Amino acid sequence: MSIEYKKNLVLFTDVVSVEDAEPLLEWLQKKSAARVDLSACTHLHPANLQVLMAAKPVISAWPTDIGLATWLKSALEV
Amino acid sequence: MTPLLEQFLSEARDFLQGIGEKLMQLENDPGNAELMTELFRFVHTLKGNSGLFEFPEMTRVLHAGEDLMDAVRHDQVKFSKELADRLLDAMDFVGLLCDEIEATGSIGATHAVDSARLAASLRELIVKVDSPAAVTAVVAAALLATLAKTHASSGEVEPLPLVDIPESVRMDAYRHACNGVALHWLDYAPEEECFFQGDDPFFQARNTPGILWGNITARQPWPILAEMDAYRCVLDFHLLTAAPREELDEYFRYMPDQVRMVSVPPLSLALPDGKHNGGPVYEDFVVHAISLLGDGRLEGLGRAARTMLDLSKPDLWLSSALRWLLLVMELEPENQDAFGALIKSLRHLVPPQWGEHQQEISGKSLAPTNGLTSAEAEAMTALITVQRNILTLPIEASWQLGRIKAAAATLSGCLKASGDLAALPGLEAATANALDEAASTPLLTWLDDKLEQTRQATPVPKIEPATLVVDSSTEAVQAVSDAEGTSKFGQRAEDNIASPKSLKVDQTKIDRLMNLIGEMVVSKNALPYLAGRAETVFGVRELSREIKAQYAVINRIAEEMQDAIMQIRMMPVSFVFQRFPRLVRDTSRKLGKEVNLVLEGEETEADKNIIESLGDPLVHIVRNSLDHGFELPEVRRAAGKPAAGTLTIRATQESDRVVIEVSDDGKGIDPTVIKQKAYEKGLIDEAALERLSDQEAVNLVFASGFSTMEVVSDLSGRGVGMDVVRTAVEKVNGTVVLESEKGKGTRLRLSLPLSMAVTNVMIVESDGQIFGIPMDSVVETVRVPRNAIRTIKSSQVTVLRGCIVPLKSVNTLLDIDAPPKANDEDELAVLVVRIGDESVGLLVDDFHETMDIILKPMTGMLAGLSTYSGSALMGDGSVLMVLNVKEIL
Repeated sequence: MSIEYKKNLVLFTDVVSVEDAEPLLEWLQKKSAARVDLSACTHLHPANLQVLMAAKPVISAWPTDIGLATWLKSALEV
Repeated sequence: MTPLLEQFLSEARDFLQGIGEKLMQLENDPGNAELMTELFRFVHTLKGNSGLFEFPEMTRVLHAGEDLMDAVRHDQVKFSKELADRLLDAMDFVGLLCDEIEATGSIGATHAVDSARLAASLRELIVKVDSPAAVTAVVAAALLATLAKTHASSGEVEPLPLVDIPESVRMDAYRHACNGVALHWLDYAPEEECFFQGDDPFFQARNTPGILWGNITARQPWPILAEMDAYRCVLDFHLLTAAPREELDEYFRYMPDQVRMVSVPPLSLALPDGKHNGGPVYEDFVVHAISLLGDGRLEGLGRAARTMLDLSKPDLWLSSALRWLLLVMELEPENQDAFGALIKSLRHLVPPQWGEHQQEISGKSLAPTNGLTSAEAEAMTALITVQRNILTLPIEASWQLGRIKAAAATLSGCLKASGDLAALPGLEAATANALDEAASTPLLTWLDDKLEQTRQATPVPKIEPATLVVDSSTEAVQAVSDAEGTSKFGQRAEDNIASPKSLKVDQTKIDRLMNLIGEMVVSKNALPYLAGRAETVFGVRELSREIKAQYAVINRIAEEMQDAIMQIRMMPVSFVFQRFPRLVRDTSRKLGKEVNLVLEGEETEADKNIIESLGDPLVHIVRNSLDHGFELPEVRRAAGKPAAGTLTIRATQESDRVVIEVSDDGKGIDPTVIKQKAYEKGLIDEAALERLSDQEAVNLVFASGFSTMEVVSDLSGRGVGMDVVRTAVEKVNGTVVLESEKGKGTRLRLSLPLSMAVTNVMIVESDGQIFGIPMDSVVETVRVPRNAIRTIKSSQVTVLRGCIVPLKSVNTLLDIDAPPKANDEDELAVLVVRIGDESVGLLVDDFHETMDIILKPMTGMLAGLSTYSGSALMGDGSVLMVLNVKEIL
C-alpha cells in the first residue's frame, strides 16, 4: 500500500497513484483533525495533491525528497 | 527510414493531393454529399495512418480536420470558403511535416505551436454553428491564444510573478542567465480531463528539463470537500527553467496548447523583496551611492553597499536590494543603469521597473490586457464609453456632481482592473478639478487624453469594435510566424513542390514503353540489313562499315534502355511470399500438423508478370506439401524427426532466371506407390511400369489427372494439383523439377525467366519461309547425311552420339507439302530440340542466326492457333512466326 490510514493520520509512501485520490478524499471528509505524513513519499499524483490542497489537513511531515517537498510546500503552505 | 514509413509518406502525399482536389471540387459544388464523404474518408484514413507513428503534431491537426469534416458531413457545420481555406492550410502544414519527415526522419518539436494553432482554428469552426453566441467566445479565446503566443515569442508583456520565487533561487537563475543560459517561465495549465487520459501533469512538471523552481496553484477556490471532484484537474503549474527552448518544446510537444512559455530577461529577476521596516529612510545612502556611481567609483559603491548590508537585518527589503546590487555589479559590471535603478528603488521601496528591458506592448494602455479575457475587455470598453457619455452631459445642478464622482469611481476601477495604477493620480487630480469647477470638463479632457495616449501606445487599436480586434489577431498570427522565421508554414503547397522519390504509374504506361522499346529494338535490327545492302547492292563498303559502327552505338543504348524498362517492371518475390506465413499457419493447424515456415531470398526480383503467375502454383505446391508431405507430429517423432516439420521456400537468381525452391522434410514420395497409381489410372502401361526410373516416377505427379489421395479433401486430392502447377509454370516459359527421397522429404524447383519481354529465338528456314524456335528448347544443330537416316516403321530416326533421335520434318508437322531440302553435300539440317526429357530432331531446310525478339502473342482469329506461340517483327520488316515446339510435336 502506498497510502496507509491510521486513526487521524495518513501515511504516504513511495508513489501515491491516481486511484488513491478518491479514498483519500472520503477519508479526509470524515476527519476534521487529519494529519498527513509525507516523509516517505517520492511522488504523488496531482489528484491526491488537489485533495490535500482542498482539505488543508495538517502536514505533520514533509517529504524527505527535497525537490518534492519544495513543490508541495508551494501548493500546501498557503 | 522503414518501408512502412516510406509507404506512409507516399500515401500521405496522395491523400493530401486528393484532399486538395476534393476541396476545390466542393467549393464549386458545396452540396455534394458524395464528395464530402470521400473527403472525410481521406482525412480519416490519413489521420489513422499518421497515428501509427510518433507524429503528434501531424495527428493533432488531422484529428481536428477529421472532426470538422465529420461535423460538415452531418450538416452541423456548413461548408464554406473559409473552412476550405483553413483545411487547405492545415493540409499544407501536413505536407510540410511530410517533407521534414522525409528529410530528417522525424518532426521537430518547433512545429507543435503551429500544429496547436491550426487544430484550434479548425475546431473553432465546429463550435461556430452550434450556437451563434458561442462565436464571440471562440473568437475571443482564439484572440487571447494568439496574443499569448505573441507574448511568448516577442518577449513578455505581463509582469511575471517572479517575486514568488525565493531570492536565492532567483540569484542562482540570474547567475545562470549571465552565463548565457536562456531562462524561461512556464505556465502549464493541464486540461481538466487530463487525469482520465492517464496523464500525470505533476510528474510532467517535476521532470521539466533544466527546472530551477516551480510552484502549483489552484485555478479556482476549493469547493467544500463533499462537492469536490478529485479527478478534475484544476491545478496550474508554474516553473522557471534554464533549458533551451527547443528542449522545452520537445518536452511539452504533446500539450503545446496547455503550456505558455515566456522567456525571462535576466535582470527582471532582480526584484528586491523583504520587510519594509517602517518605510524608506535611506535617502542619505541613496544620494551617496548615486554620487559614487556618477563618479564611476564602483569599488567605493561596492564597499558602501557591503557596509550597509552588514548593518542591516538580512530580511529587510533594503538588504535584499543591496544583495541584488552587489550581484548585478559582480556579473554585469558595465550595466550602470541597472545599479542606478536598484539604488533609486530604495527611495520608495518599489522594485525597479525593468520594463525597458522588455518589450512592453500595452503596459500603459487603458485597454485591459492583463489577465482579462477579451470579453471582459469589451465590457470594459463599453463601460468607459458610457462614462464618457455621462460626462458629456451638462452639469446643471449641484446634485449632479455625484455623476462626476460616480464616473470617476468607475474609471478608477477600470484602471485598477487593467493594472494601470500609474494613471490613478492623474485621474484623482482631474476628478478634484472637476468637482471644484462643478463641471465635468476636466475629467472629460483627462479621459480623452488617456484614450488618445492609449491609441498611440498601442498600434493595434484594441478599444475599437470587435471586427478590428479580429484583424489584429491575424496580424498577431503573422507576427508569430515572422518572428519564428524558421517556420515555412503559410506557403501553399505549389510554392514548394515536393519531389517525391517514387512514382505510381499506371501499368499500361509501362506496357506502352515496353512496346515502344520493342519496336526500337526491331528497327535498330534493320541497320545491319541496311549495311548489307550498302555493300552488296550499292557497293559502298565504307558506308557499310560506318552504318555498322553506328549500329553498335544504337544497339548499346537500346539494350540499356530495355534493361532500364525491365527494371521498372521488376518486383520482389516477397509480393507472393507474404501470403504464406498465414496460409501455412492456418492449414497446418487445420491438419493438426506442426510446420515451421522458412522464407529466404524474399528480395529476389523478377518481372511483374512472372511474379504474378507464380502465386497460384506456389499455393498449390505449399498446400500439397502440407497435406501430403508432412506427417503428423507423432509419426514424425516415431521416425526420429523433430515433431515440427520445416517448410523452406527459397528464391534465388541464377543468371537470367529466378529459381524458387520449395522443400519440406516430410515423408517424401514413394516411387512405387506413384507408379502403381499411375498404372491404375491408365496413365502408363505395364512396360513403363517396369522401365521408369524412380526419378521419372516421381515426376508422374505432374501428369494430368493424377492423384494419390484416396479421399478428396478440401485442400487437395482432386487430381488437378501438380498438373495445374506445371501448366502455369510452363506458360511463362518456366520449368518444374521434383526431387524426392522417401522418408527424407521433397524438393520442388521452379525455374522461371526473369522477364518475359524478350525471347531469344533461333531462326530456321523451311520451304522458303522462316520460323523462330525458342532457344530454351534448342539443344543443338547438326547436319545429318541423308544416308544416316533410318526409317523404323513409318518414323525416321537417326543416331546421334549413340542415341536414337526421332526425326520429324517441320514441313510435315505444318502440313506443308514439300520434302526437306538437302545441301550440296546431301546433308539434311536437323535442329535437335528437347521436349521434357526427350530429344527430337526437326528436319528443316536451313539454319539462320539467333535473335532477341519481342514476342507478341497471337490475337484475334489467330489466337486459337496453338501451333505458334506468337509472332515478332524482324528488322527488315518481315513477320517472324515463332513455333510452339511442344504443341506441334
